[in-house]
Amino acid sequence: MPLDYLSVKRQIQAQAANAPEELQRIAKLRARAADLLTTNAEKSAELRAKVEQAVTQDSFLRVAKPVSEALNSTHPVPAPPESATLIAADGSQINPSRHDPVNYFLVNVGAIEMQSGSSAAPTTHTRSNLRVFEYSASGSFSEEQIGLERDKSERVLLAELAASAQARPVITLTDGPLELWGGRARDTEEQSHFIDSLDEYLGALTQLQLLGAATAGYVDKPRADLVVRLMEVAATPQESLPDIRKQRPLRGVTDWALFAPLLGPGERSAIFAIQSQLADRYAGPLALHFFYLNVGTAKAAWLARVEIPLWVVEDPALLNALHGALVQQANIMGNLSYPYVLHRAHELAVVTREEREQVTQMLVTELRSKGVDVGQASFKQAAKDLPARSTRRKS
Amino acid sequence: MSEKAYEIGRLLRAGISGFVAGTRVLVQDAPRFGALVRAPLGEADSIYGIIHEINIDDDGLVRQLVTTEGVDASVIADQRVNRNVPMEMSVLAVGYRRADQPPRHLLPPRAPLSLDLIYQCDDEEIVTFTNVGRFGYLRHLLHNPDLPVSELIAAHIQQADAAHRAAGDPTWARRAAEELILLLRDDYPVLMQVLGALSDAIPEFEVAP
Repeated sequence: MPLDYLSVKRQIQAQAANAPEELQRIAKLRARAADLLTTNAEKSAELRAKVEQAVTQDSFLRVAKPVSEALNSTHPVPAPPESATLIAADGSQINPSRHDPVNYFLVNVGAIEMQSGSSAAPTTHTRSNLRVFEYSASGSFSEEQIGLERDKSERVLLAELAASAQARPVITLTDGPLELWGGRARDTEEQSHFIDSLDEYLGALTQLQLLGAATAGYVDKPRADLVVRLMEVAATPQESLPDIRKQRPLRGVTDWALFAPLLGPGERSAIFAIQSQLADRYAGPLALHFFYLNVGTAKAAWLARVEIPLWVVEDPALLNALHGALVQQANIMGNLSYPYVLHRAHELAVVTREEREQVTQMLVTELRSKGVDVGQASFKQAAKDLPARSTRRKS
Repeated sequence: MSEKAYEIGRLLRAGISGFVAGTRVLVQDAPRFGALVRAPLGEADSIYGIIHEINIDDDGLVRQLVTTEGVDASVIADQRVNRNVPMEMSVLAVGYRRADQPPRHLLPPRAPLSLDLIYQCDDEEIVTFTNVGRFGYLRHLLHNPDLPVSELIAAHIQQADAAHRAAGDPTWARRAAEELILLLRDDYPVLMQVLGALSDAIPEFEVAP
């Protein structure tokens, strides 16, 4: 049965009726956040101390921390490096399904290596890692655990490829945050798995640092409010800091709304550090930072949050090369301003439904040839796979 | 221009009357409209065909890239070398050959199989195939209403003539034209189109109407 469109339409109309009022409310909050950004622009040290104090009260606080640049400063796009190696990796996975005849999962990582300033075709790489009959303490591996494997594998592949890159500087990119996601484990085994993966991930980051390569996580169309949260900390009186979790006077305003009016085409914002529960694990040169980047036009800003480690922040030449290369890459895609190499890495990595079915079939065939009784797909899945209704043709 | 046999792609789909091969989009060694190609038929036999259409499909990314200014050379190379967007060549079957026998200008008994390698014929194969019988393979081209007959025949005869001249026979094209006049004697409009196209393809070749 299709949706109950009549009911959905009534709900849409009801929600839309409140939209103008809600937008006005958010606009006022955004103006308040912008004022706070201006008045606190030069108070980096003071705000940093205040954030550190707030974190002692709420270790879960996720917020931007000022570094050294004025908070509302903007930085024009530098010329892209004349010659550089850009390497982007992306991952995709086949999650285990209890409806499949065999319990397995697969992590597929694609990478592309492009020499800027060269007319040579980029080189591409694909790594497919199949895992059969593996179980966690809670049963099948969770989607979160497999996502963790995927994210770790992306960074490990980047480090491997960066080691053999010819042209310098080397700029390595992934889509999404630099911080490895997956700290909310279901049990101690999952927690242990996460710690092991994080260690490997940090090892890959360290390898990239030792190679002198830039690395970044590119978050397209960010919805976070890390800097807005910083403004909330700034606006919170000292005596209310212990209650910082409940201090959300700017709730609903995003960093996008704060920075889109500030940043011209190609410009980046100031650099901030990321304060999060796991930030301490990214110690020393690996410490997590970010800036906002406008890859849009003068008429229509389009922001990305670019997450980088401290060693990139502290190397102006590398930082400028990354900034220039990202804008150049985004421009390749025209009005869909998203780095070309990241899009291509996604193309290389993505596992289609047809490919998933083929892998399942190959696995079943091989196991049966070895005399293994692999069972069959669940009846529920088999029913879902029945052909859809079609028009009967008259012969 | 002397032609050497080389791989031009792999078979995507096939029927008795023709097949479609796919290849990466590269400038060098690009197969040509009107070229004689060969596909395997089992272990030792071959199917011959003539390329009558070459398609390069687009996709969303290509459409996006053409809207931008000054596409980077490495991006163009990436699209042509790495991306799985093949150039498709449609081939009309015009004959086959069993091992150790001369070619026949008949439709093949079976179709080639998926992913079979397709070769562009070298000069020796072109001469051998086009010298058999009395140009019987031309009827496959002439009797297909969906083909650009005059252009296809002109392109093919131009390439085959070069192979025959390289082998020391400058008269083949004239004999081919005479056979075409005979085959098309009851279809004056098509005959004139074919002869006009032939004059454009081989300027020094004056075809008597």
